[in-house]
Amino acid sequence: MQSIAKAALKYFGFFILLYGAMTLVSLIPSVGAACNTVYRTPTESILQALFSKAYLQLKEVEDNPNIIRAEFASKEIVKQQTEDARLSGKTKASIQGKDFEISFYNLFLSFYLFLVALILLSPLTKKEKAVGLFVGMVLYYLYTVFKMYLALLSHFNEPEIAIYHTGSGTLNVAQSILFFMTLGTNVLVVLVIWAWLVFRKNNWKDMLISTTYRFRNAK
Amino acid sequence: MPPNKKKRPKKGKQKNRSINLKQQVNQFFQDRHPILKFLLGFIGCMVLFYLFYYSSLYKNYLEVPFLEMQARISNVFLMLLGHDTVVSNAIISSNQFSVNIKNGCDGLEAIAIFVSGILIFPASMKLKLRGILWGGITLFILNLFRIAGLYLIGLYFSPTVFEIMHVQGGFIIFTMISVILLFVWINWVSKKSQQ
Repeated sequence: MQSIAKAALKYFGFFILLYGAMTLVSLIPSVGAACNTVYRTPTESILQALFSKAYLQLKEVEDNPNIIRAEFASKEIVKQQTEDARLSGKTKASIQGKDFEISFYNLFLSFYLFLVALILLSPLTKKEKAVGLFVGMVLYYLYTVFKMYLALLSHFNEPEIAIYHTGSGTLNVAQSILFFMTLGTNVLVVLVIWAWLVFRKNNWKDMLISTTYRFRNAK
Repeated sequence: MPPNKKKRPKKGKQKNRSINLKQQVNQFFQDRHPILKFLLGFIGCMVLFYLFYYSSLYKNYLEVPFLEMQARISNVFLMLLGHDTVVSNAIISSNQFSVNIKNGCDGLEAIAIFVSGILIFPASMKLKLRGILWGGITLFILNLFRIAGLYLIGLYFSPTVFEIMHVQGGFIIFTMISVILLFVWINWVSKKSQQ
């Protein structure tokens, strides 16, 4: 039992070093901003396709790569205001949009780095690690996009915004799912993705043993 | 008919590739069949936990006393370190800084991950109970240190550092501890069953 505990502590030490190093690098503003941009670009297109009734843009907040600002307006209202401006002889219409902010680190980056650390420390071949990192990234990314979709759907149905008028049953289900999608659930999703990608019928026992013993045996 | 001659092997190759891909996908799921079963059970346990965690029973009767108890014990650690802190509800405060322990900071999610893993793993009830008892107590105590540590980080470092340690240290590293404890338990159980 002592040897297992010692090996586990060593594994934990390696995890802290790797995860801590990656977190520190991600906190460098230029790195954080680059990750934010890479995340926002496809997400904006996906969400724009999903919310056809809204003008939606995901923007980075200056000097704060942690924040993604979702700016939106109803296409119907924009059209109406543009028409009103045209009728009253104005060349430009002033359209009031709304926004809300999302923590990029709490939504994606911190938890993706957690997944990266888990996969890199798993006793797999380089190819398996590369596949795991890619598939894991896609799965976790889709989970976060789904979470953003639910948050925006709920937001767009608020009476003062009212871009969408989703049925109360569907909206209740969406809001209930969103309610359960906390930071704790993010961790859980990462763990499930990792276990699903890494453990196999013929390796899971070896994997458990080698995960706690690998660093001792590597010497 | 030279073009046809060239095309035939291509078609054959494409067919082989699609068969290979199908076989690979089948193999992927076959290889992971027991793991998927384990994960489904694990997710089921976690769903039950969350249903309880967000239920009115827990919210109305258990949450506040549990958080208050954690605040009081964490405060004892801080007082032992010479800090002049007081506890009011679930808030540990001094003249310089205060932390409010809320739902999610209680360490219960990490404990639930540990307990769910043990419950689903095939082992005797006696070994499971021992694991749950020792692991649960260890995680509970570590969470008290985490709360006290967060107070100290808030006191001596910037709000940014506090926020990072709150999320990274709070959720991710603490969950990792529960996963490693689970692995230690599984290794211990495997050794026991070999004996």
